[in-house]
Amino acid sequence: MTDQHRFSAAIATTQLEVIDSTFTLDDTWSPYGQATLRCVIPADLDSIDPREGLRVELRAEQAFGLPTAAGDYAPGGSIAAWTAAFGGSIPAINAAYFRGFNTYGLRDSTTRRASLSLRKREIDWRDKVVTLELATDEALLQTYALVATEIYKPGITSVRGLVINVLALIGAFLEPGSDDGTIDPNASEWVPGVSAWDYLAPLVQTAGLRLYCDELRRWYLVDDTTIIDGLLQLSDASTITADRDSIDLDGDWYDAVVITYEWIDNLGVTQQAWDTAADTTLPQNVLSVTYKRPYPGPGAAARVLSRALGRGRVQAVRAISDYRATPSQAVSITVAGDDTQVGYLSSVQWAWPAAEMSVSSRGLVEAPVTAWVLDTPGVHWADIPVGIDWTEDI
Amino acid sequence: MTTISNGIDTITPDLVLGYSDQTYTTNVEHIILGGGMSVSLGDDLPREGKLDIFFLNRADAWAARDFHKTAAVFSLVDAALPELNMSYVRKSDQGIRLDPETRIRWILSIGFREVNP
Repeated sequence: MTDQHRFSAAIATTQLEVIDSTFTLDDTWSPYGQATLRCVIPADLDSIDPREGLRVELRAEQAFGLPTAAGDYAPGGSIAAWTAAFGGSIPAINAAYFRGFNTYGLRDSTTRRASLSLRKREIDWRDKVVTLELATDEALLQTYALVATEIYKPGITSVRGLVINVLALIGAFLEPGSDDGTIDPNASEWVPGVSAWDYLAPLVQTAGLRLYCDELRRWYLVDDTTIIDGLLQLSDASTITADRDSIDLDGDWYDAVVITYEWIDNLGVTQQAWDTAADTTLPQNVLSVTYKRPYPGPGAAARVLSRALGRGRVQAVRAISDYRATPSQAVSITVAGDDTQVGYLSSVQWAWPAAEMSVSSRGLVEAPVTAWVLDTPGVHWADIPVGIDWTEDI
Repeated sequence: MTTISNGIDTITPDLVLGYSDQTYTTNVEHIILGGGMSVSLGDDLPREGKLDIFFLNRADAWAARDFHKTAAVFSLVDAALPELNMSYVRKSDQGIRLDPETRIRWILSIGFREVNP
């Protein structure tokens, strides 16, 4: 396969001269999206000052062909001439005016756009390079803290309602949705000095929800198990260039979680409460976290555990960059010597100009070659006769 | 006639004695795990190479060397060899040597990298 990768970054209307870049989306991280760009130092340093609240527009594209220059278009400038020449068929126009790199002809480009906030810049005067670090807007919630002399008590019992209120403080809006949870009014106290993110995170987690801002500045509050449409298929016959399959008990994997809540109640007494979750009676690796806030009820530990457990077996795959890959999408990984693995994409990092992406997955399930997911595309789940297991379809 | 300008001063070598260049591709090759390979295409970088210019007298030759020592974008215009016309910056070394046959003519070799002006 032959393709071409293009990457551009701009602040307002100024194009940055990017030397190389990495761009990461990860649904277990906050911020959800992060990017690092190495650029030629621009003449105007104020134009890359993070204190100015700047945004960087990124565009990455994987193209499978080149268009012919506009001047070479034969039928002439009028739409009527084009319609007559090609019988109104847009694929015919494509076939006539685009040069595909591959024998299979044309294929849609894969693209991704992003608008990220500039968080950090570092200028290296020896190498004459500036490194810019960018992130999605969760960073704004993480740096916004309650500046007040009294505890903020919103008295809201809906997680969605509270998130909308807090996002309004940073001038952001929540995308419409129905996933919601209830909050104990006593637990929704915001202590001065605590960041908006630290205030919201336990309430959101307790309700089994996930709050994130995507790379196009859209805030979502979704059920933790929400899956994004699409399937990323990776195979060692076509795109995979490297694959490391690891199971690490000392890594970011836990089979038990303990969350400690510490707060001062109305009477001035220090209170503590614990929320725990464990996958087994004899845990091998326990994660311990402390939140300085009133106990919101159980649930957060179970949520953290469900994410951590899926990290037990991790396939770190490198493949040719496909900019459609999105965390929380289904992924299937086929490597000779192992059964096809089916799971969910947890992170993707695109490197440019290396034109390769690193993909991590979670919740991998081995799919035997007889499984329904590997059947001919178009075979519906409901088409399988009653009584046939999903692993025995083919 | 050949002229080389840095935007302020201009030098006029008496002859272009030698020229060679290379261009390098920015194609990225991916070796696929299951065998075979895949290529992500990229344009070539601008040419880089070596330019030898010849001077009939010593003073002009040494002035041309000093001319190339300063940080600048140089533009070369050659009426006889228009393919050579380019804006360039210095790349790696430059050196001056005495013509071994005449013992009074001088040759300056300049490593160059073409740039977009």
